[in-house]
Amino acid sequence: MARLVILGAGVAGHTAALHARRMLGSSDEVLVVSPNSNWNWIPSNIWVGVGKMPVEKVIFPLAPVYRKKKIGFHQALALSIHPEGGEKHQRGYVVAKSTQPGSEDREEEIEYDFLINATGPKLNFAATEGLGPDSNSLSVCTAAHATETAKQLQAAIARLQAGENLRFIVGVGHGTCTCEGAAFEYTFNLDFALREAGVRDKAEVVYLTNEAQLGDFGVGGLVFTQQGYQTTSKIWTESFFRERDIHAVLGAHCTKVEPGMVHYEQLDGTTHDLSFDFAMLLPPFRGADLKAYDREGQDISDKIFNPAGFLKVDANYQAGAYENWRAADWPKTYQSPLYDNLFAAGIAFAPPHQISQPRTSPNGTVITPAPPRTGMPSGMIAKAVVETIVDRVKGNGKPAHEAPMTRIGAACVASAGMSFLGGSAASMTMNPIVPDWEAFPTTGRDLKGTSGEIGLAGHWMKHLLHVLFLYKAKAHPLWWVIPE
Amino acid sequence: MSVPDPVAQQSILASPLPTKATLKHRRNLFYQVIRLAAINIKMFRVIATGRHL
Ligand SMILES: Cc1cc2nc3c(=O)[nH]c(=O)nc-3n(C[C@H](O)[C@H](O)[C@H](O)COP(=O)(O)OP(=O)(O)OC[C@H]3O[C@@H](n4cnc5c(N)ncnc54)[C@H](O)[C@@H]3O)c2cc1C
Repeated sequence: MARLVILGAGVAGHTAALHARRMLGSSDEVLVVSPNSNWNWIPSNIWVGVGKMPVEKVIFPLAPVYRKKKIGFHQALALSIHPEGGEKHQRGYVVAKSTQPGSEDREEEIEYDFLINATGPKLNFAATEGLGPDSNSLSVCTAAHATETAKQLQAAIARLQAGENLRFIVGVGHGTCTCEGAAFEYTFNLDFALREAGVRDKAEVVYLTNEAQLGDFGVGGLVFTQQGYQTTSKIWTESFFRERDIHAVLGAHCTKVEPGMVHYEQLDGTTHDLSFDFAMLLPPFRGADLKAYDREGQDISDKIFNPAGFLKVDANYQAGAYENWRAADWPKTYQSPLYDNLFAAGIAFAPPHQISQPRTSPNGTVITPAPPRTGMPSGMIAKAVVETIVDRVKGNGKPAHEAPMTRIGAACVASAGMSFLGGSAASMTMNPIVPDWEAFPTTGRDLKGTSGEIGLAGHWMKHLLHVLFLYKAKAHPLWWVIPE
Repeated sequence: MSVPDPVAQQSILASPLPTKATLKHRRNLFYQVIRLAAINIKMFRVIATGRHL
């Protein structure tokens, strides 16, 4: 009998828990530790944030699903990992603080045979002064943030309808942010909402990004074939900006957000101020605030986690300069090099470096997107990690399963307006996610698996994904047939 | 109208603007049903060829 403990119940953690329960025997235990009582389909927060979808449609309570599936659920925030056990524990254990109403702050020690860290990102609004919904800008990273953003948008639309001219800034709030795809989606959904309200002519929409070029998306951009030509995601995205009359600020690092004013530095070292009436700026990510201790109680956090708090796995963290980066730097099994029963899945693993070319302003400010780890790879990594653990529990001596981002692809559907007949989305596929210049010397990716197109079909696809992933997350019959 | 990043704007304005026919295709129900099938095929190909081991 083995016990698998999973920290986090987001895309990666929840996927891992459901697959583990399906694949492990009934005598094995699967326990999830996560602070929120609800599951959130984060991609659809974009639609909540423009008031097109009620928040109840993107969340559901986890406890009934885990009860049905016989998965243990501790509604708690993990504080520390003790991979070598301790005085009272022969096995590794986790210290977690309850977030359950009524027993808040009660600490518990949970032993494990295998541990998956799937704690995702900590939304690091503190990295930029004045950034975030508790300060001077809005966000759609959580369902609650998106709800508040929708309210503010309605108020702004009312002002436009009253005849005012307003500036909307959407983008990223720090030079090292990831998730440019989400900022792109919110920009175009905002544009769509303003057009629907008949006030687009009164609004200036500005996309403020750390990308050096439009269409970078933190993956160094894409090259794909369109009507017999190879084209780039740069040209394709710029064309979409031109069509919708959206302005862009490129290579920007926000230094401060004040009420109605954002300050930023650009890659050429110049600094600027831009006033706004509405600003939705995504935060940079950090790893969860987890500590790690050895058997003697010595702090080993810096051995297990990288400086940003992400769990170090089987990656090459010594690659150095951009010229030396190789596909082989990226992790394959997501196993900690120090403890073979400790894994990371989803955003929680420490990437070896960025995917986009790193850039620094003449003032030494790093302005480069961090590597995105979107839903599809997060789910695929989680499943591969679970398969490795299941093999080990069953003792069948198989090698660890692999899901390197240099071999797996991703499908991304970026919504550009939600309406069954009038909506649209940019549908992109890339294979692999991280370019492999040795395998694909011309463009870094397989041109057959890399594509982009804009249209109403993309919106239908996005809606279909919303329905399918919520179905899957609720573990309804045959949920596991739906791919990650 | 002044724009916050004139260099970025210059690049945007140099990109191709979709024709009326392209915009119509992007909304044409019959054509988009076909594209939905095509997008699904592309996605399944990515899932199938990029499968983990
Ligand atoms: C606005 C937005 C839109 C997006 N749109 C898309 C999209 O269209 N397509 C796409 O593929 N991806 C999209 N993404 C990215 C996608 O949401 C992430 O790839 C995905 O959520 C990553 O999964 P994860 O499990 O690593 O992290 P999460 O889903 O964030 O889950 C982390 C979990 O860990 C829990 N946790 C945190 N700290 C602790 C702790 N100390 N102890 C225990 N548990 C903890 C959290 O509560 C949460 O349950 C979007 C992201 C954003 C912000």
